[in-house]
Formats: sequence, structure tokens, C-alpha cells
Amino acid sequence: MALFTIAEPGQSKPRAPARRKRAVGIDLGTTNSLVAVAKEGKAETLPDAHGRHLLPSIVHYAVDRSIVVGDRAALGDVRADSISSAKRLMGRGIADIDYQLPYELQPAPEGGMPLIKTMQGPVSPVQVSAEILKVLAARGVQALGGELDGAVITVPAYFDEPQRQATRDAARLAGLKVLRLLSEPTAAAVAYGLDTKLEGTIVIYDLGGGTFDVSLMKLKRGVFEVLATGGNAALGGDDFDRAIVRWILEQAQVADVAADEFSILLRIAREAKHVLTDSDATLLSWKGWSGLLTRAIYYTLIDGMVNQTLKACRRVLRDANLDVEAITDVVLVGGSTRSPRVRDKVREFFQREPLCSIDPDSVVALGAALQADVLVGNKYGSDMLLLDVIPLSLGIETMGGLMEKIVPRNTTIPVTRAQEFTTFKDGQTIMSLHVLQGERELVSDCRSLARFELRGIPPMVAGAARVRVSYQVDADGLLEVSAQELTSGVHSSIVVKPSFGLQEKDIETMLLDSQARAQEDKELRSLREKQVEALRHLEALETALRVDGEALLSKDEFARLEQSMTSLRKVLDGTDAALIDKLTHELNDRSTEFAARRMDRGIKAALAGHTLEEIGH
Amino acid sequence: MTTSQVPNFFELLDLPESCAVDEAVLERNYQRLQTQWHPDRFAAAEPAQRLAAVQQASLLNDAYSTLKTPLRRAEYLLQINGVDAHKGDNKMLQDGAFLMAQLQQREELEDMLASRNERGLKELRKQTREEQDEIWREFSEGCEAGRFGVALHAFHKLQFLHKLGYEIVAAEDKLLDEE
Repeated sequence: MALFTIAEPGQSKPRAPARRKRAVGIDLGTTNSLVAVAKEGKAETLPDAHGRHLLPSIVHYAVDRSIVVGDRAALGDVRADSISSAKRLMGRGIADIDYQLPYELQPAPEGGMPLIKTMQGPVSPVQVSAEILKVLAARGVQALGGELDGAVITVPAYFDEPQRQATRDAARLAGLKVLRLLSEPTAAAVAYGLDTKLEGTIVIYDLGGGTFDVSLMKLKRGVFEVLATGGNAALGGDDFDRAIVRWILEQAQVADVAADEFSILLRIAREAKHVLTDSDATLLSWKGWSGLLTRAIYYTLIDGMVNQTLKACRRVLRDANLDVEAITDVVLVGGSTRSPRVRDKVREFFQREPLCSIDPDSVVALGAALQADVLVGNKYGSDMLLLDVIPLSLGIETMGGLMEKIVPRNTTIPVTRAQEFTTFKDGQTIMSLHVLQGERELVSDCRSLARFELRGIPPMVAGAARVRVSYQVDADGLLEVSAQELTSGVHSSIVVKPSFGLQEKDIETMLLDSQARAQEDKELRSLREKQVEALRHLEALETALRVDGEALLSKDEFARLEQSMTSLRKVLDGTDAALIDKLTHELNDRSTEFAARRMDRGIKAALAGHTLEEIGH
Repeated sequence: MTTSQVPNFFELLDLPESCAVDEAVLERNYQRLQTQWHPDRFAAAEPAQRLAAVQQASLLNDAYSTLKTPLRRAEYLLQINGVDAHKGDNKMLQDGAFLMAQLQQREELEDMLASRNERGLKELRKQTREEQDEIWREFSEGCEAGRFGVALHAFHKLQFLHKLGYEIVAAEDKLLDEE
């Protein structure tokens, strides 16, 4: 090897070809995870030293301070203390976890994600996910022969802001540079698009261990456009297992079991589920009880859940304004689509044979690897374009506890949307902003993402300030919110981080409730509007009375107006919208004369034709 | 105030400013530009460059969805011709025939919801879409002839129908959830 080289001016050495960048695609799954690499448009998953590609998403925190990930953690005596399905806890509060887990949780000190109790003390779901990512990244380093330049990590399309943010945090914790958070169905579409040259209007039906996604996409000449997406971030094969466990307990007439026993039951259930993929029945035994689980029984246990997924499919078709006939192909993704019941139902619903030519367990990782190779700057496929959408509407809290949508669901990202708001009170210098995600009309039914304040608004009369609130969602689906008062230029901004301050509900419940309770929302909305209107009248009149009341009104008239105001105030916080409306109108009638007299004081010309409520502003 | 900073969406997407938009050309131009500007092109670039890409890609997405969706395109056309669709007199309330038809359709919607008539709702949705197409022609004619009063009136009708369409979808959703 030469110790140094001498280069003559103008006679430079032929340059070595640029080093190929090293990038991996990672499918961080609820039950299994995978890593893949791509070269020249061909992707392959990476095995461990024993040739196993799937890494069970299980982490064991041992007494001797070692951390074991994957297969070994699922073995023998360590099983009971192993953490599985941590993905379900990502970005969720403890109130969201309304099902039994094979381990114990404790609430986080600041009310964030719950912590999981282990032999090494409490750990957060983000840490658990980071351990899995580290093992997968190490496979990549070994296969590619050096440190990674970046990774694409997939998330369910239906993941909301806190869940995406938590995934990003886990990657950072694992020391990975995230090139992109990619939706799992989109990743699967990339794999099919590049490998089998699939084109047309495609439905990706992705039923994994813990999540369900359905994306309706248009594939054409390297462009992958998501038209609509839907799903359930807490529905998957895990729930099939749980249904079998519940059945066993019912049959064995046992009411409740401890976490370690539950974990044994889950394993029995999972095995039964796999046997039923090929057989008509399976004999189960547990602690002296034994019974026959037939396919027919099993189907009654899971049919409700499978139907849920089909409902989401219908909604997505409707959101995109398409009929089943308009679909070119349906692609099956996720291990749970191996279930013959799921296949039958999907076939029946879409009236065609679904595609599964690429292994449904690895297709997401393969697609992620293909995209990672492009993003990191290796040439192949550089004209590929992925157009993703946000799965759930983003909005802001407005007067009366209502959610005003700023970016509706299924909007293509990246996106920037702004809306102007104004102050409600005279002299108001602070505006509180509450950032929300969800489809329901009431703030309490949406997920609270962040709260921040815009301070230093110059004092003005109510309604004069112009506060422009901008929402920017990047290609990863992560949100940044900023606010600015336009007349003064006061600026404030925030990158949304998960907050768990408010009452939390499951994301699916939010969407389902959204339609089921549309009527209730409408009534409540109407009540809130009436309340706000009444309050505006009261405040306007109060200001006017302070200024001109004594000069323009007799004592009697003043008293009558005040009496009317008092009775309105009394019912204001009630729920009788009609009564509030009636008293508001009464107050309006009684104050017309006062308004007229104010106008007579030399401002008549300017205000001709206006009503009292505008004078107050 | 901010309109002066935002480029004209038609120019941005290299299309003639008109009510009629060739969807295939719109899509092709959008995809060509987006391929150039999408943040994925800049995954390994400097933060400032990445931010610029996000902004440009967002603008393209906004322009594309505005021009692709007829109602939003209509509103945008009025806006760039100096007509604020949300200000001024709404003559809608004087169009008795249209309002009567609207009321009737809404009653039908209520009945169908009550009798769980899923097929009827789908039919009503289709019918509303056809009606929208017809009024869209009114809008186009007004707009192309520079008669923005006529166009605005048609726009308000379109809004009504759009809202009706939305309510039909909500009713369909409701039946779906109650299954």
C-alpha cells in the first residue's frame, strides 16, 4: 500500500466510484419485525445467524442486566417476563389500554406513555422498540459491510401523530438516521409496483398482528398515489388470539388469570390459530381442561373483527368515490391475511381473487428497502414518486369546545394550510391554541396533540386581531404548528409532541363514533353556538352600557336591560338551547332602542342598518 | 394580502386559466413537478433545502387539489377574478324553485335514513352528482363569458348540492355503522 501519492497538477488520479450508500428498510411490526436491503431494484430480507428472517418483536430484560431480543426471548422460562406487542403502546396513554397484556404497566410520571415493569425496572415502549431496531440495524451493518447511512421505517397508515412521533423517537434512540417514515400499505405497493409491475387502482388490505390498514392507491409509471386510507390502529391477529383465550377461559369456567398464566394461554391460542389455517379442528388443553376448537367456532369468534375491517374498506371506497368494480386488484399484506376466513371475506367483498404473490410477512420490509435505496441517493428508481396522505383530520379548538378541521383526512402530504382566527374579548393579549386530531366535532372526543400560547398580541377590540395559524405536515406525516398575529407580527410556533393531558379514547372509536353520533354532535354544536352568540351579545351590551348606559337610558330602562341580562346569564351554562335562544332574542329586542339612541349620537350615518352586536365589536 | 405572494395555480401547473381543466394534463404536469420537488428528492440534503422542498411540494399539492376538485376550482376562479364567494349578497334565497327542490331532496334523505334505504341513498348520491354536473355547466358558461354574477349564483347552488352530497355520505356512514 502506498504511504502517499504524488499527483501532478492537472493529472488527477481516476476517481474511485462513489461508495454505494448503505440503507435499510425496516418493518417494525407488532408481533414480528424484519429488515431488508435493496440493490438495483431488487430487495431481500436479511436473516440472523441461524437463517431466520422474521424477528419476533419480543424483548426480555433479564435479571443479569442483559437484554435479549427475539426468538430467545420467546423461549422457556424467560417467556413470562418478556415484552411483546410493545407497538400497541406506542404513543398511547394508559387509559387507551383496555385489554389484558401478559405484563404489567405503570402510569408514566407526566401522564405520557405507560411504562412496562421489568426485572431491570420500568421501561418505556419507545425503549423496547429501540432494542428491536438495534438488532435489525446490526443485521444491516453486517450485510452491507459498514455503518448505515439511513433507514426507512414503516408505520401503519392509520398511525396518528403521537404514534408516528414515538416511532421516530425509538429510531433516534437506536441511533438510526430516519430517511422517511413510510406507511406500511404504501411500502407494500412499492414492492408490488417494482417487482410485479402492478398498475391500476389497487386496494392494499393489510392485517398485521396489532393493526389493520386499508389503502386505496393509484399506481402508474412509478407514481404511487394514495387516494384514501382507513383502518384501525388497534385491531390485528393479536385480537384473534385474545378471542381464543377468552373462549378457553369461558369453556374452562375460569374468570380471571394472572399475567404469566395469560401469556401461556396466548401461546396456546396462537398455535391453535395457526393449526386452524390448514385443519378443520384442533384439540386444546390447559391446566386439566381440554376441548375441541373447530373452525366453525373459531370463525364465530373472529367474524365480528373481520367484518370491522370490511367496513373500513367500504368507507375508503366511499371516501375516494369509487365502486368495487373500479378496483383493478386487491393485495394482501400482513401475516393475519394467511387466515382462510380473512381471504374468503376479502374475496367475497371485492369480488376477485386477492393477490399475495409476494410473501405477506416480508412485502412491507421489501418495499421499505426499495424506497430507502432511492432516498439515500443510490440512483436506481430515482424517478419514483410516493404520494401519501394523512389518515385523520388535523384541527384546532374553537369557542365552545368545538374542533375546527384545518387539514381534512386523506389530504396529500406534505401540506401547509393556514386559517385566520380573531380575539374574542376586548384587550385580549394571549391566545391559547389547542391542536387536535380526529373526526368528531367536540374537542373532548378528539385526540389532544399539543397546547401552546401566542402571547404579546397588542390590546385591541374583540375581533380586530388577525391570528394566522399554520399547519405544516411533512412527508413523514409529522405536524408543525405556528401562529402569528398579522397586524403586529408577533410569532409563536411549536413542533407537535404527543400530550396525554386529556381524556383519551381509542382512535378507531373516535372515527366510528364520529358517524354514529353525528346527530348528537349536531345538537351539541347548535347549543354551543347559541351559547357563544349569547355571550357575545352580553359582552357587547356590557361594554355599551358602561360607556353610554347612564347617559342614554332612564333608571327603569337600565334596570330592565340588566334584568334581562341576568336571566340570560343564568341559563347560559345550561343545556336548553331553545331557552338560551329565546332569551338572547328577548335581550336583543329590549336593547334595540338603546342601540338606536347610541346611533343618534352622531354616528347614525356611519352605522345605518347595522345591529347592536356589531357596535360592540 | 397573501394572494400576491402565492403564484397563480394555473400558471404553476402550466395550464390555461379556465373552468374546464383537462384532468389528464393536470395530473401529468402535477406529477412531473412533484417528482422534481417532493421532499423524498431531498432526503439527504441540507435542512434549508429540505424545508424549501417541503414548501414547494405543499404548494403543488394545494394547487393540484384546488384545480382538481370542481367546487374548489370554482371558488378559486371567482377569487382570482376579484369575486369573494363568501362576501356580499347571496341571492340564493330568492331562487324559490331551487330551494324547494333542495327541501324536497332533504326530506327524501331523512326518509331514506329512517327506512334504512341504502340503495335509495346511493341513487340520491348519484342524482345529486348529476345535478352538480348540470349546474357546473351554468357556472362555466357564466365564468367564460365574464358574467361573474351568474357564475357566483351557480357557485352558491353548487355549495348547496355539495353539502347535500356530504349529508348523504354521512347518512350512508350511519347505516354502515349500525349494521
